[in-house]
Amino acid sequence: MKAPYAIRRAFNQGNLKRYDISNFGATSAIIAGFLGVPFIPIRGNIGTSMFQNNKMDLRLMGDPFTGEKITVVRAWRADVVVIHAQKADRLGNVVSYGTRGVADEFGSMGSKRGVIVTCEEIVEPEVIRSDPDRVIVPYFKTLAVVHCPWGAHPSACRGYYGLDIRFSQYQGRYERHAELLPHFLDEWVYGCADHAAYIEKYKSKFDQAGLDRLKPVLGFKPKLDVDYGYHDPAVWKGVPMYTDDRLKAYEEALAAKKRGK
Amino acid sequence: MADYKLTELMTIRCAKEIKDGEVVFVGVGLPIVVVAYAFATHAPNMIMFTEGGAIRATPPIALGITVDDPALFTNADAAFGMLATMAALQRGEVDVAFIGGAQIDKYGNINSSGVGNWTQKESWTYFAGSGGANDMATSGKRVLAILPQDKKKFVDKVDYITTPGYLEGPGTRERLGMIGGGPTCVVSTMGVYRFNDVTKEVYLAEFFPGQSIEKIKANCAWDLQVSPNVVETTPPTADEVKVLRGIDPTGFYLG
Repeated sequence: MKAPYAIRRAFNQGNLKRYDISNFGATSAIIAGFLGVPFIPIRGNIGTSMFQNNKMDLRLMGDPFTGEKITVVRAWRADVVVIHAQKADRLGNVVSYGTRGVADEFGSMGSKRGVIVTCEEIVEPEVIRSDPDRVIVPYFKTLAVVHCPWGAHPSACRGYYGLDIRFSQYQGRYERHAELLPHFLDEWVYGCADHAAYIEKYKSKFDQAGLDRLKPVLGFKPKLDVDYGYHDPAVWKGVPMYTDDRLKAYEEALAAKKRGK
Repeated sequence: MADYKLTELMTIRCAKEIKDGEVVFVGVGLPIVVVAYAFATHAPNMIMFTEGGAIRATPPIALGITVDDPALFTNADAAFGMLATMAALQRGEVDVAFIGGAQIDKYGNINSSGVGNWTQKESWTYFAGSGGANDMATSGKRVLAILPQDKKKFVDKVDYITTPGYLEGPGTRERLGMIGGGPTCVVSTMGVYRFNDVTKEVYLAEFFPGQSIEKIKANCAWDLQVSPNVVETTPPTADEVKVLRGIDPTGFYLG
């Protein structure tokens, strides 16, 4: 129930401004950005303190068709979106599966400049093209692809590792005290040259066993047999039009009538 | 009488509010355990919607910690994102919206945004905020809430309305065009509450074993109405507790 401590302190000190909105309010704002429209109607938030305090995002208007009052939320479009995904190719096609966030999928597409992608694995474009249903960001939206194993840590990456609740709690205990937090940041953020160094640091402090505990239970490959077969229209070459006696008689009668006029 | 913890009593009592075959929308926390328990007992045909976007005809493979926890999506009947399950709320397809919170008032309005005076930022203690609770309580056909009780949590007026109950009383929800019916039941750490059909005010319907009406009234900041038919909550049986502990064997949620 308590918001992260460092963020709470920043709110209280006025270093961060907070705009309250419900989850579906935020989802809808992202969808409006995805659709390229300025706002979108929603059912929630009305009647609450969020609606009173967040005029930046939430307003009331009359439905132009019925005249009834409806809450609308302003579209959100980020300049650049940074996401982590399971797989991407060198062109920038991004594959994500299992647990897809609205921000990953629709927030990325709604971004003004494009998307920076970190991923567990880089695969060949023809591998991704063999299963394009799973692409959440196509290459034309992608600014950069970064191969970054464990890139979502301490969050989960489906099929690769689970949520590191113990590390999150450890971080939380540092965050709780303003004077302790800089030590955490020095050690885990500024003190690590890159993400690989961060993972090495993790192993030296909490052991390989700490990472091993995050391994997912595997054996959940899809059993649905899918073949994205297509039909080649070239087979119609030289095939005469289908007809029958009824259709022929009707068309001939119609032609005769026209000639008679 | 079975040996049980307060969280176990609350979970089992809450689960009994779910009817078999209903569409139940849950966040994470104790509600996940309640739903898994209902699946395992009297509501095997329940349809579970999660905030992260899973739709399930079966209980989750493990208790999730976050709304996007892979455990909630594994072998789901559909794994959409938040857009799809929350859109079902707006279409009016959710029977039970199951939420928590930090503060509640006599009209069932819930605060999960913070305590203090909102206009004085330095003194305001921020909480996590709505999450999906607001959307669930606005559009779910009925709302079930579970939250701890003391005099600072059961207040005359919440410091901030994050999630609408009956707002200012009868007719307010209708005037604002809300499609959901509002809260019907609150389970606290002390008892079970329902709402008066006419006044929309919450009243005490059951007190937990070991509690008394006086003690409960003392832990409520307004003059709490008590049902003339108020009863002690039936404690869980040994079998019920056994099933529940099988669902959360490490006590992650139940303690």
